[in-house]
Amino acid sequence: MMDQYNKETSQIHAPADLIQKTKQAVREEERRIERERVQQTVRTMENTGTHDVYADKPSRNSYGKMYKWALPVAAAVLLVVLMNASTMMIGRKFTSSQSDASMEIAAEMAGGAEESGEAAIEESVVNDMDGGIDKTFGDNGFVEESIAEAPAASAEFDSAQEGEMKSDLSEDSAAELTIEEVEVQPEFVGEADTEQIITNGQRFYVTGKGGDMWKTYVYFNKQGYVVTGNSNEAPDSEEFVKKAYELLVETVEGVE
Amino acid sequence: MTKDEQITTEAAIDRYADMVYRLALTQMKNEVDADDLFQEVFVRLVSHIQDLESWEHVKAWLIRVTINCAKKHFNQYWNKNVDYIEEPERISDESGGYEMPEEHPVRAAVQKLPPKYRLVIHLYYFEERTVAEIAQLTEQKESTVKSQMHRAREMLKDFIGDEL
Repeated sequence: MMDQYNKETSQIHAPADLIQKTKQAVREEERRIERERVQQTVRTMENTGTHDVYADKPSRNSYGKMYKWALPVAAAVLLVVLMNASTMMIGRKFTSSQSDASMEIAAEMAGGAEESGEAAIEESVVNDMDGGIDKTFGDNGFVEESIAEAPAASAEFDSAQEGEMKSDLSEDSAAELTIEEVEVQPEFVGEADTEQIITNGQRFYVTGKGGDMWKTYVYFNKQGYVVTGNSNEAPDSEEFVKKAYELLVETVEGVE
Repeated sequence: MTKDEQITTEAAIDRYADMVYRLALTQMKNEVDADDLFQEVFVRLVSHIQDLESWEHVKAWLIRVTINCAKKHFNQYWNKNVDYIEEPERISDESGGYEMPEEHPVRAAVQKLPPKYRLVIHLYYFEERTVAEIAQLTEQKESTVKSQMHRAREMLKDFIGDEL
């Protein structure tokens, strides 16, 4: 059967006119390819021919020009980004809890003015900072409160701000204490002025009453610790020991 | 034509025109489309002829490209919802009928097969290609080719009713 298929198939031949048409099409295709090759060669010669110095580097013109402008543009973009970043940093300072720093910056900015005409601006800048900050950073309740309490005049503001700072610090006293591990009992432990206060099962040796710094020593879990803090942080030794104990709990494992 | 004849597209046409035309007819079922396919294959050869090192190379290339171009063309046909001819009838009326079913009954039966089955039958029996070569040309597994051939023979049995 498949022999029959082969026989039938072998009787089929490509028509002569089809062959001629195809050969014609093939010649046209060959000419087209040749034309394109010549054009490509001419283009390549044109690119390399006009700049002899860069003859070995194809397409340098367009690529070189693009590259030439890229550096200044990149530098300009970088500069803008840096300026924005620094502006944001300045802006962030005005939203911080240390509002006195913001006033200092404002004062510096105002103080930088040399011409007399800027004196009026200076005052208005200070005033505006009060009001401006309220408006600009109105969402920050703490900032509003602290700025609202500060007087407009810078001298009055300074004294009031000092009081603010102290009260602020007292509220955050636990964060202002320092704790350090010690190998040897400090000398104040054996002094006559040193108090011993037992809190939550721990014996604290406390000194500093009447001085600038509170200090307390505690021995826990085979390790000695000294906690130090400003005398302003606690009115008496018991208060200080309480705060020291809190710090100990936060810092040392196993203290309950 | 000698073995040492320079490999050019025109020489390839003279050598393999019948092969490509028969293969094109096998795939296209229509003389007009087969003519287009024939021409397309040789025009494509122009830009690849310098890469082909021997006449065997050229022949294999022509078969593969004919199959691929037919596939592309067939997919376009498929989009136009072409149905397979169920009953034996004249393949084409447009060109004045290049083959009559009565004249070539076995070819007519083969033409009724799906294109993939027609192709493997033609390459195996007429072009005398091995299963491995057919698998390579059609980019299929050998097991797939064998399966297609088996199914093609079963279908031809139904069409013709003779032992193959």
